[in-house]
Amino acid sequence: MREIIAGIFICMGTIVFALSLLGIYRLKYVMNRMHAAAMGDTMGLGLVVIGLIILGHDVFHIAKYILMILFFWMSSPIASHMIGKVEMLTNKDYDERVHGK
Amino acid sequence: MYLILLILWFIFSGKVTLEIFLFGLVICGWLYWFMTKHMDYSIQNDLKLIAKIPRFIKYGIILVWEVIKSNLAVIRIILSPGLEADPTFYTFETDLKTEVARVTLANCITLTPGTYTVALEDNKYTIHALDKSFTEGIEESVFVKQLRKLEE
Repeated sequence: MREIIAGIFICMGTIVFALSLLGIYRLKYVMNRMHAAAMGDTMGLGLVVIGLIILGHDVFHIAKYILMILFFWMSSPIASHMIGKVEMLTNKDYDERVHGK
Repeated sequence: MYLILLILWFIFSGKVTLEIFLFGLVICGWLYWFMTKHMDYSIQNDLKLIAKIPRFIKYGIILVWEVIKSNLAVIRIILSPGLEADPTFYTFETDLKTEVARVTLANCITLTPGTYTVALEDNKYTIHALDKSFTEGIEESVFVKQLRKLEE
């Protein structure tokens, strides 16, 4: 039973990762694509780790998985903020920036 | 902070024995002394923070809930056939006082898919949103209310 629930969570996480990949290809411009990429970081990773927590053996496994989410959620916004800032500073074409032509 | 260091020590060592416990006490004590001396940590501030733990937990729960909601919204946009999105830039000001609260707000905006902070100067945020609906009510979002309570 436990394995089935964990499997469902991991499959959902993988589907979210697939959707975010699809989003990266369908959207047109760096700044729009980053929104799709952020989805994999947050919800995809979260769901996969919840599945792994259900499968975990003892307290230390679970605590390490939670730490993984914590550090990832602390570092990923900084990275995407830097990408956005660099793009904003280097590309002066406002129309491309906003509408992604 | 000392307790957090000690908990981290136990998590990374993977099991609890007397030996590990004693080593942990000594090493975390030394590290905490170093942090109070050379970084901006002090025992008084940490004691104040302990009283705010329930609010931090509440903030975390709200953050997870917002992330789930905005994830579903972004998935809907990606799967819609014509990509009915209208990317915009949006600028707003906040009245949060401390730097830590402002940076936390910027990070939380970036963490939720659909919006991210491009620039943060003093109290002016420039955010990029995938659709106009994401920017509605962002000046007075739940994050701002919770952070204002945490600042007190």
